Amino acid sequence: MGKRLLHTGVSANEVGRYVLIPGSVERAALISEYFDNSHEVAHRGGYLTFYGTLEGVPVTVTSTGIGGPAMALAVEELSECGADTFIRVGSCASSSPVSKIGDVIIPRGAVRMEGTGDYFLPRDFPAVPDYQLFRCLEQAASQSGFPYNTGVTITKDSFYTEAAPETKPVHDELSFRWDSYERAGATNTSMECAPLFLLGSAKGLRCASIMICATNYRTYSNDKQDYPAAWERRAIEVAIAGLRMLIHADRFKI
Amino acid sequence: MSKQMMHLAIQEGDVGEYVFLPATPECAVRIADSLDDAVEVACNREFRTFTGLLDQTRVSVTSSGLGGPALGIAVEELHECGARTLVKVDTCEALVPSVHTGDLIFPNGAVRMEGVGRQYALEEYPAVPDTDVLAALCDVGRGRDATSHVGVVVTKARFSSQFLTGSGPMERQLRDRWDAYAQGGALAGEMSCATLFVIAGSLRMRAAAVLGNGCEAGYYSDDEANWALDPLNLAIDVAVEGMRLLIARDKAEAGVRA
Repeated sequence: MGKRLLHTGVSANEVGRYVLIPGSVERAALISEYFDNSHEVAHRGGYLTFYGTLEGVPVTVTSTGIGGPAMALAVEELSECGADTFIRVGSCASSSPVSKIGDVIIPRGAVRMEGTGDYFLPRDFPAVPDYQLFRCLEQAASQSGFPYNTGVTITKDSFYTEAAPETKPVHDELSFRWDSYERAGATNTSMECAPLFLLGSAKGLRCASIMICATNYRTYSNDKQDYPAAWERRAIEVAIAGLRMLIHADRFKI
Repeated sequence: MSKQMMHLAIQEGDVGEYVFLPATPECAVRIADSLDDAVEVACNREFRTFTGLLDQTRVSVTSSGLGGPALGIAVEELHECGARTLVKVDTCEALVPSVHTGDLIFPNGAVRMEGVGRQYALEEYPAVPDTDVLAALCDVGRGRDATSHVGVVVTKARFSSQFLTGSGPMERQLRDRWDAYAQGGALAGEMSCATLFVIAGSLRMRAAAVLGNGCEAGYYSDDEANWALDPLNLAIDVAVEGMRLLIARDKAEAGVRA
């Protein structure tokens, strides 16, 4: 038997080629319900992993915790176990009237307002998803009938940069940068996309992201009761449908 | 009479919402040949503009010159005259061995190794094309008898930076950067995509590109005799048919909404 990885607690025979990576353990459990033959294989800290099958092929879901550092560590360990395709499934907030609450968001690029990506590629390298995987997710979104868009996401390292910049010593600069991203066209914000895409490019992994938009523009409340929990399944269902397409394409080398 | 743009010498009404952006006036002529009833509406400096019809929709072609600074002027003036969707048609130089001479490249992102884009958006903002324009170009490219690649390209503001072998003041540092881009999977170098994507995004225009690769990685030659195959032939064909497909999809979507 191969080694068991230090942080995620998984070993190679418990990891499929295809991995869904939500942020929270609760969402990992929810996603595992969509697998066939699903069972829990490891749970350490924020990393909860289930192993199962889709279309008869081994698949994994691992929660990564919040932010680039925790996410990158998980993806590096999972790729060491043989995984080469990662779909982040999560939530995001609107940064434009274009993105509305309940929309499925499949970002075509990410602003690098974060630190982990710098360990993988130079600053001028774009954080973009794998195109084949992106197209599968977009096609699945289009077929689902849910409202969706492919806007640029702002990956922020500090969650409260967006909600409360005035509480920080560098707030003038944060506000200026944030405003410039919105003017440049960014339509939503999240916390893991840029480092995931850059890690993918640096290590030759296929990575993409699909999220549910949890707010309308400029209406963030910080009240858990306002979170549209019922719509979370939209992103999950589209992710599963898109992954099925990719598995099919890989099988027939399309 | 509305004002005439300082550099492109076009006026509002001279161009369609859909515009091809080749680099050279010569290539603009070749693309104009694919349009119905094309007429030259302006020719000033390196900027030559034709407007014609593609499936009954007004479409223009404007040569944007070489590099980001000239391209930036062209995009701004086209926008002011009503252009909203841009398709870049150009050549590129392979950076990795998987890309061969004559292959087609459809960038889904561009390394911002250039200066103009930074006068629009901060360096951490990604240079990415519009999803629908890219999809239309790719879908046409897949049906052609050539290998298609979708991936990141490097937008260089100094053409030769990709091929340096000497010991100039910046050369070691530049080689390190190009090595990093190649290890990150960047497919080729070219001179306009990052600038185009960032400016188009900030002006809320749609833009994407199709590039014909002109050489093998590590085998660039600046001797014209070594460029027997014109990588623009196929790129032009895919750009025109891709634009046709995009216009059809736009019409279908507008019909659904109406």
